[in-house]
Amino acid sequence: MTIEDKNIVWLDLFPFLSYQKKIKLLSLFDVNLDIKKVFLLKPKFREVLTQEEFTKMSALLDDNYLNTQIQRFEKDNIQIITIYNEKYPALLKEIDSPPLCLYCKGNLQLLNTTAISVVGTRKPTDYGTVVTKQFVKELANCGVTIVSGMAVGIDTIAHKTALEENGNTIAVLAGGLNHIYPSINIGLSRKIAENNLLITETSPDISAQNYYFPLRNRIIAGISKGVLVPEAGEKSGSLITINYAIDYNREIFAVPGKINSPMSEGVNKIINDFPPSFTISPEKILDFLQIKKENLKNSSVQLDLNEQIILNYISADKHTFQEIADHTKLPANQLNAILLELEMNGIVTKLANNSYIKI
Amino acid sequence: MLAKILSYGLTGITGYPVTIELDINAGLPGYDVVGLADTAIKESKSRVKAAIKNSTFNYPINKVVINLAPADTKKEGSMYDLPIALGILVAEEVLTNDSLKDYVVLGELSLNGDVRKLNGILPMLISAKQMGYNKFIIPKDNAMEAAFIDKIEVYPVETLKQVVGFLKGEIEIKPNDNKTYESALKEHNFKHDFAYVKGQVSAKRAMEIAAAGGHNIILIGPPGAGKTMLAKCFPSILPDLTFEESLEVTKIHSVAGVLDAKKGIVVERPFRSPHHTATLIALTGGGLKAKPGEISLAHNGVLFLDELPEYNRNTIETLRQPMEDGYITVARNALTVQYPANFILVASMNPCPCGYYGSTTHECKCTPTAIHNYLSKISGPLLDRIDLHIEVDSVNYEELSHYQLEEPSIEIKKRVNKAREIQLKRFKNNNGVYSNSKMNEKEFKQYCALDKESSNLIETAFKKFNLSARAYNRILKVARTIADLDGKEHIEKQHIMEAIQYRTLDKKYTV
Repeated sequence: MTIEDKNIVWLDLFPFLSYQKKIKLLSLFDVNLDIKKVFLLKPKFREVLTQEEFTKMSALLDDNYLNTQIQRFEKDNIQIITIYNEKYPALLKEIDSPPLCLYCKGNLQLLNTTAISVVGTRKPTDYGTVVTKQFVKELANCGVTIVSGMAVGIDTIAHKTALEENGNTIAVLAGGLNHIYPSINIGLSRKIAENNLLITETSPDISAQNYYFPLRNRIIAGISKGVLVPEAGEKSGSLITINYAIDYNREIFAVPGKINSPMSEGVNKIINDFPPSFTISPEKILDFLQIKKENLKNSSVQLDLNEQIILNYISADKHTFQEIADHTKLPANQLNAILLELEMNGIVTKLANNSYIKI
Repeated sequence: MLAKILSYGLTGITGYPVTIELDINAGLPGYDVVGLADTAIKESKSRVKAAIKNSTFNYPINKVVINLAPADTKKEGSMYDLPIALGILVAEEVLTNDSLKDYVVLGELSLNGDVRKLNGILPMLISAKQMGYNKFIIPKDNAMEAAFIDKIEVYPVETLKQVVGFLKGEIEIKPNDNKTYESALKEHNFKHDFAYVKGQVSAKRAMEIAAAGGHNIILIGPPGAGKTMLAKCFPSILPDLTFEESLEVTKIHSVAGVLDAKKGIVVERPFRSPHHTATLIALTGGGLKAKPGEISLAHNGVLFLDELPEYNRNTIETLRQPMEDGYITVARNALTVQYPANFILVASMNPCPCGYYGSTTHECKCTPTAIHNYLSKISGPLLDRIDLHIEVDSVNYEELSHYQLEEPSIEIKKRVNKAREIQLKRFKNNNGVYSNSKMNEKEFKQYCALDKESSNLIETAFKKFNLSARAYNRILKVARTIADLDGKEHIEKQHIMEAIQYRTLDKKYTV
């Protein structure tokens, strides 16, 4: 690790330093020097920092302290990619305030792959769930990396679907890697770290504050070529991501929702404000990325008559097991087996209340 | 004169003979009971005295000493009132020792001399029969209970006076008529029947499987979906109790005092549904007298825990060991008793704290974290012992409103019985195992072997649904039962697919 890298990692250890302050501090001296050595010598540092901040930072000037921290991170399999590192995502460098350092866990090769972000409501309707699954499935199967924020709702569905399809996915977190939030997704984060990637600009031991989340969204927008919104309410955080995407010149893809559904207000507003974002199929995204759609596995699955009757019945609306049983007149044991097979082939998905819908 | 009367005592559900020795000496009037008697026995003084006087006999004005032998065993209950009263009458020379020597006498007295009903008659009589006693004098209200034990003479009595007359040979009492278990079975009607449960094909099918393989089952669904009703119908599709099973159940119920006196024997598999505020002792048994708890009362039947996450977690966790072993040992300072507790657990729960997750009629207001916390109230090890997880969806209006009856329980029961027969045949050499749910590792390996296609399928399913390792055995055991219902010797692909569907809680339940 070079001196420049270490300087940034050291600054990241202090949660009270804002991005702007870090930039300012770094601009005050020659980047090849160790900031800790020059810290007490340069009176200009005091001008940038408050007295309290200055005292706190001068207490930790010991080189050993930083080194043990870095060793601990490495022991936790956390890899540190600063903006000077060649592995740092090229797209992310283009934005006006690129994170100085990315703390990563998992497969670093994903950092420079073609990525699409999927963001949306934390309380998806069945429609939103199905749309997300459908889009992510197709994109992941064509090798597109799915980026999202690992929040509950659309984010989680996007990550999980990508994993199910053996696709690539990056979760961009707001807090440090030792403080996974939300805790309900700790299991998911472990799974993503296996072959995929978790990244964050926050030092591992710092937990997320409220204002970290909007900042995190700029990374989601910055690292990807486009942002897909399957479903978003009126005050959804995904609208912040969309604003970043506009600033950074990223493509926006919004899937229209019902006009009377509160969970679609945000996404419909995006379409209203930016009509080109209107998206009704994953092909539009693939065309934009200039990826040829590969022959999906599904086409090889032969459906028998019963399966087709069921699929027609649940293609637009979800239906409960009982309704499907009444409609098809099939006995419960046979219907259970058929539905499981369809679910395993990724053709239908099971929703709450024992109901099924075609993806 | 010294009197000697035979009676019986009870520890847990096994009886032991008690000899009541009674002596009347000159001295100040008094009434001394020795032989570790409890308060109920010591209080017999007032009952016996009043009963004797009100039956127009003389009560001695001397000192009465009563010894309950064996003297080192604690005795409790009110069954010694009648033998003590008879003993006094022998000592007073109203009766002779000879007239009583063949009889085992049990009964509580009321002040006017009536003989009252007792708890635990059946286990006492069964033990006594095994010990070679065959003549009994018992309260008339307990007569039905005794009717199912053959080759013994039981004289049901109503009053003290009647007993004295009988023993003197002045009155004739007809011995109790024997009843056969089959006749009791025939008279029995189930209160709940699946014929009246509309829709719910999926849940009904799962209950059929649970009944066939003896699997524990949990029903998940919104309020009003019919979870409780389904559970109540469950005993009606379970195989009939055999006579031996019925005696076991009746013994426990008799000891606990919950036996229906008119029926005398339990013919329907018990259905116990303790409230979720039930304490640990109420479930497992115990208390001062080490009485059987709900899980023992549910022996050979169904333990229904409605709203499982509402139960105290410690209370639920104690079920784990008896669910494995089929019995529970209740240890109290005075005595240690083993009660059988072999039941099928039927539990129900809502999908989330408000109950309406995924409902089409109500909006669910629960956050994913709240739902997650709610579901995690049920510990992994307990869930591990529940083979079938079923989602019960609410029934819509059209289904409720059509009047056609559904398939009656008796038809389902026929299929269940058939599947049970196959299992009994399969496990006839395996001691203690009689259903698929109880298979141990060795039997599991032997009877749940899969062909190539099936093992591929289960492998794919595991990856796809992120199933836990513990789900593997459960799925195969359930698949074994489904294959038995299907009459197939080997587990086939469709059996496994159906079994996987019953692991809702293992598959991700929420996003």
